[in-house]
Amino acid sequence: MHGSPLLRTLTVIALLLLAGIPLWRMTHEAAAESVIPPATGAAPERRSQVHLEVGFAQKPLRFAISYLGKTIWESDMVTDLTEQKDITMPYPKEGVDLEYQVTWPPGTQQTAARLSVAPNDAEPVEKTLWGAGQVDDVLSFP
Amino acid sequence: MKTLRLLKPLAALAALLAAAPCASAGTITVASLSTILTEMAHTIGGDHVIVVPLVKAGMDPHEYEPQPDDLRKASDSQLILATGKHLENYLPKLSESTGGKAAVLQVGDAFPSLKITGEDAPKTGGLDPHWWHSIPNMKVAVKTVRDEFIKLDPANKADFTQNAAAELSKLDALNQWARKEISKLPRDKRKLVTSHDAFQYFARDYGFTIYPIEGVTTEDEPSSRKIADLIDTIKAQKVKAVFFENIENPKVIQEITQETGAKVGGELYADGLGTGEEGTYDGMFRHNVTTIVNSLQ
Repeated sequence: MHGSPLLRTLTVIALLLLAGIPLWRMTHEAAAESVIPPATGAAPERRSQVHLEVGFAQKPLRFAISYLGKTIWESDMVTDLTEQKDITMPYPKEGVDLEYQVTWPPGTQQTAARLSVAPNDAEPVEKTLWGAGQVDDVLSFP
Repeated sequence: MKTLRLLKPLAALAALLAAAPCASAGTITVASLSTILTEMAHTIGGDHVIVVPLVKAGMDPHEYEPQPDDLRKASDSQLILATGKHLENYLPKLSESTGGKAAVLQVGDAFPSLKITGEDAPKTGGLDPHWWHSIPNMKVAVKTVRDEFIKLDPANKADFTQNAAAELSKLDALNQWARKEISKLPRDKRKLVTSHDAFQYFARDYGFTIYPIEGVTTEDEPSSRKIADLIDTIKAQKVKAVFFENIENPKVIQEITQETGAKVGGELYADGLGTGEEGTYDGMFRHNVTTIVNSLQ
């Protein structure tokens, strides 16, 4: 009536194994996914916390900083002669090139704009652009 | 009688003016051993200079040997413009055969060289001759050619100075454009595999690493061992594209791309100007930068 105890034990083990299959698949697929490199075939992007600071000899109308052709920080309401910002961005060991654009009010004489970059709490590296009215150039940081 | 007395000084003044050298009369004949310098001589010299190009677009300056007709043209010139840095190893023979009548200006001697090592070093005196891929070098070259023209034809100093100043401004604008274009490419992707080792000055200025198939000259075929090593490097460095040149046979590059999976990035102008849009320095440089950035992004 109740069948063989051995048969019942084997049935329970088989059911447990069947139930375990989806669980095993889920856990192992998730583990494999975390080491798959990006679809582009490139090395995984090294993202870093980067501290940026801008400084001006005279207050500009606006400034913008771009990385790889995309604006990462801009302001057209500059209130102080220095401003700072922390951002998370890719920062390869070879360094980064940042495009720095600054526009001053018309008639502004020769003046200067500074950009300081410090990735991962490293010592900041400073670069300065000089110009009248507007400057727009690419600065390299290690 | 009174009228005659008045006319005499005027006539004397007219005679004096006629005898004085006219600012536009001087014409310098220049033979050029580089397509880059041919264009530069035209730009700076304007109407005051006749330029005779001995090395023309599409010719490999590493392989060029002057022909009898070239020697005659060089003899008839006042100035021979050469790349220098041992690119033209035939220069002593050329000077000898022209009887030293034409002054030789090796423009590349005006600025420091990148040093090379390896098989090609003895052929080039250990110097990399491809200086024109650096815009700062080009600016020094413009000033060097301008000063030489002024020395040969001082009457047209103002024109040479003005033309050179315009060219220097154009080079500054070109450099700023190039820096912005290249800034779109992450620094860890700035890896160039090229037919021969002609882009080290470019690499220095814009933060690239070069993996050349051949050495600094184009004279020797790469060994199978060298190609195998390069294939390993391309795989290890995950280089996305391999570039060929306007002069070289792209067969070896096809073999490398098949082995590594890297794509063919396109054609670069390594040893001089091309034709059409790439027939000017500005066009050639823009073509190279655009091709590199688009292929490696």
